Amino acid sequence: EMLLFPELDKYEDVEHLNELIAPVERFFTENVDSQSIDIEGEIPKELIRQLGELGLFGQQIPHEYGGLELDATGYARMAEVTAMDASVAVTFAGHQAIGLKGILIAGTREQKEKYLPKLATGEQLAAFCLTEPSSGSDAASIQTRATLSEDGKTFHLNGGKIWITNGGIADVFTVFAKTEVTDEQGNREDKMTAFIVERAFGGITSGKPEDKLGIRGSNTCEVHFDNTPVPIENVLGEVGGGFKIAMNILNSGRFSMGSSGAGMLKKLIGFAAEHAISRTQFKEKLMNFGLIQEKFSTMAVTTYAMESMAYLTALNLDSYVEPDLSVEAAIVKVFSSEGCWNCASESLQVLGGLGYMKTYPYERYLRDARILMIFEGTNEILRLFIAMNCLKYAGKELKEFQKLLRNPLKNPSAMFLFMRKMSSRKPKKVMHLNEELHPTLQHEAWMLEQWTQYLEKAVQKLLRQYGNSIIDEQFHLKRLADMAIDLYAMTACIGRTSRSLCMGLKNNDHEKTMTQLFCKEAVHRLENNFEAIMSGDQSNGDDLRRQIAEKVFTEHGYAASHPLTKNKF
Amino acid sequence: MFLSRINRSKLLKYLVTISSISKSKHPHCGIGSEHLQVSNNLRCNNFSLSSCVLEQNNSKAMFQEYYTAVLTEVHSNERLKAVTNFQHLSDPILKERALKKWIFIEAVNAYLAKNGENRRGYVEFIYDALEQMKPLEVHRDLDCYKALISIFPKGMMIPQNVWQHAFSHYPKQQDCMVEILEQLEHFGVIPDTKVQDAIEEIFGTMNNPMRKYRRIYYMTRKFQNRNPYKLPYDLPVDPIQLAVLALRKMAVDLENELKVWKVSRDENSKEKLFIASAQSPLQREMIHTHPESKPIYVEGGYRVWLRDIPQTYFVMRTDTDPSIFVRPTEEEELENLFDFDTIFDSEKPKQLALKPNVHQQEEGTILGMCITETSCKDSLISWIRCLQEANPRLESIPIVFSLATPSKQALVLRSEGMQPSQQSTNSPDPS
Repeated sequence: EMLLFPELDKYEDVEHLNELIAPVERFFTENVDSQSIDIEGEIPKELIRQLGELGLFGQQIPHEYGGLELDATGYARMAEVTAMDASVAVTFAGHQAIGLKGILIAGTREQKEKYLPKLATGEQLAAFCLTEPSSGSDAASIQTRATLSEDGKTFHLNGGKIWITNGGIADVFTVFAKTEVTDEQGNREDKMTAFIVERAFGGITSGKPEDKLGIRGSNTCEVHFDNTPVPIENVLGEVGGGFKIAMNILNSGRFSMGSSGAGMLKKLIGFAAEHAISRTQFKEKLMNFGLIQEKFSTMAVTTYAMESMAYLTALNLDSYVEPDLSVEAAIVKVFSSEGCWNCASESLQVLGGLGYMKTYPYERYLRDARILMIFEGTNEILRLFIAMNCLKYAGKELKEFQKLLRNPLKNPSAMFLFMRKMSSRKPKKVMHLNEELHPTLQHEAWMLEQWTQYLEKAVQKLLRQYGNSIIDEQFHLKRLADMAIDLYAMTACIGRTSRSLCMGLKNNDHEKTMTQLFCKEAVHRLENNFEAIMSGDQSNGDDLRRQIAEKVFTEHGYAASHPLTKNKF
Repeated sequence: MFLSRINRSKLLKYLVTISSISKSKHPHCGIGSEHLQVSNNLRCNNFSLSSCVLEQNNSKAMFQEYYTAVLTEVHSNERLKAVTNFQHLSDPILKERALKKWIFIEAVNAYLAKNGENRRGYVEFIYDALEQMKPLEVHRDLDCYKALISIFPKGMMIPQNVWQHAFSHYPKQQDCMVEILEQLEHFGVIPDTKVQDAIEEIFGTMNNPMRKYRRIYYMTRKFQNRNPYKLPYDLPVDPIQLAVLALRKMAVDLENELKVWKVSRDENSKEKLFIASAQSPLQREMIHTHPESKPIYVEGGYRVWLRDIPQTYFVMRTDTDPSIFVRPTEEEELENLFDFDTIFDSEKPKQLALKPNVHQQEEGTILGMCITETSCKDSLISWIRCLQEANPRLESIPIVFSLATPSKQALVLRSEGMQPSQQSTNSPDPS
């Protein structure tokens, strides 16, 4: 039952969602001129007003405050449509996925009543202010300070933030600053606190919009706070509890990148397929050439996996009370961002020279897709996040075994049992994954089980070898994260295909072939990662990588002599 | 041990003669430089006794005679003075070196011109010249070595029959050539193929000097780039550039910044003395967070060598908190095993807190280095003042000087003639 793909309960729910989506889709195809937004570098105010009328600024805000109250699934579905224009999508994300999510998650009733209604209609926009020049991924090292006034009723904010989405046009900011906190023992510490800051408080200046590679329509600028007074009622959560709130906000918005990426890619695949069908070279249509077919199959399979993972995560988020799917959301984000970038590049490649020209939208989609790997947590940080969280879980289980291994003679009988267990190298069918699965997917389910057990072996090996310092071994953490990503994607694909086959949806045999291909390729990647982890630093090249990087840094650049050099003597 | 006294002394004599013969046959295998240092005085590597007798004559003064002769010529003759002016060189030290090289080569030419084909005792001449190369500072100049090689007569020493090939033909001359090559290798000069041609013309293709040459040629060329702190072939004359080279060699931090200040000794004098200082942003940060109660020590008079030129450097140091070097014991580690507190869980995870950075050593944390023109205490005070620009905290932190300079420094007296440079005796001068 692990592979049971969740779903919306009734047909009516799906219909209702589709009815919600349709006008938005029409609006986007007709009224949103992505090309001019990209060239001008600005989203026209009129467009923002119209989007507000459609209710798109309050997708996750409850009905009582004027929003659409979409759950995670609805939000993901809507993200597919808004992804047609990346600048608009990022403006939305900056506003609701992170900007006002803090108020939704951690706000008091008064704060919600005060701010959410205006934010839902798009009258006011929100922004999330965490990044500073000296702290991007390292959120805990921010230097903006909030000092409490003497009467204890106002905080004064001092500092500057950079690269804030909607920074120039927003009225409500979720700002993170360091405050001095005294804990029970009386020690003073600097801890991060979240504040809701209105532009009307004064002392807030935003710089001019940055000129970016992609998502050029989204307003990104510096925001400076000069002694901005913030009443103490505007503290989100507790004073000193800002770090947790920041992590929760960021973790909750990630999964929608899967569906927005899928939406964008579906369009691109459509355009590129049209081209491949009609274009003739060497007296044959492009679609008959194997290399082109390979590209399209990669794109289709990646989109399928992205979609499946995103909706698996979204539907699980809705099915459980207080779910913690931060790792899964991170997996979705990493896979989708890299998949989008690669597939956008491939679809541009199908068109060749035409794809490179600005007359076609491919280059715009490619430029817009590049930011996906960077914002909302860089892919490198998220891989570490995935790996470390999984290791924490694994470590708890293995702690006893580790103690045993360090002192084998203390407890010989347990040691003997452990050795017997470890000696069985090959994975065994114990999980019974195929019980609720469509029979044609037995092989894929067995591959999934097998590789999960191999992952367990790899984790055990690493924990045995490195102990606590595993968190510093980023080469290995990356491989673990990649294995986890592949396994999760396989789970999602297999589950969705099984559901599709059982229900008799259209083109479900196509889904089956896509899942089979995805599992084959994923197993190939899993094999490589597993071998690299098990064979150790000397065999998998990590030692060499470290040495090469060290030399490049010592020489402040490329270190090899030019091929034409000769010695003077 | 079981040998009687007489037998032991005979054995020792036997061993000495064996070693001297073996040295003479293969004087260039392996031992190299120490051998040269030792044999400079001993001259034990000659095969026949007659050469040893010769040494006790004044033949040692042969090259020196020629050199002084040419030198006086240069000083007196106007035309020669114009030739040796070397206007394209601006620095007087460089001019002096060029002059010495010119005189050296002219002395060799004078010897050749005077003695024509009948050059008796040219081996002694060459040995003397080799000894004089270091004092004259031409020991790294390949042209001078080539000039010495050209003294050997060409063609007559090539072996003609099997017996001459088997036994070292003209062994004293071959040894002399090997000595030239040995000195060349010792001072790190890389020969070129012209030297090989010369040796071939003189001794033929299969002989000791050729073997020595080929080994030098192969090895030095292979290893010429292996030194990660490679210095330029001709070290600069400007003391500021030397100081910069030394500091760059010593600085470990990749972000290290070198600054050179020119400071006047006191208000009156116009003369500006340089201070070269190395500090990185990390060190500046450490000074910024340094508590005012702990002093910073300026320790000094350490010596670093740039090939054969010493530089005196001073270090600004403070005591390191020993707790950052404490590793958790095995029990503690087992208790906290896999209790990961990562950057995603809390603002200040425990694991990240305590890694010592590259400047923090157990003996102390290095906060800056400098080389000054005069390594005296006043210059260090000026250094601290110059640093206060970028490190304002230095004004409030107490600074303790504990210097032990290698005294009045190696003053190199440049005198005309052949006297080697004098060095005053080193007496530590704690101030």
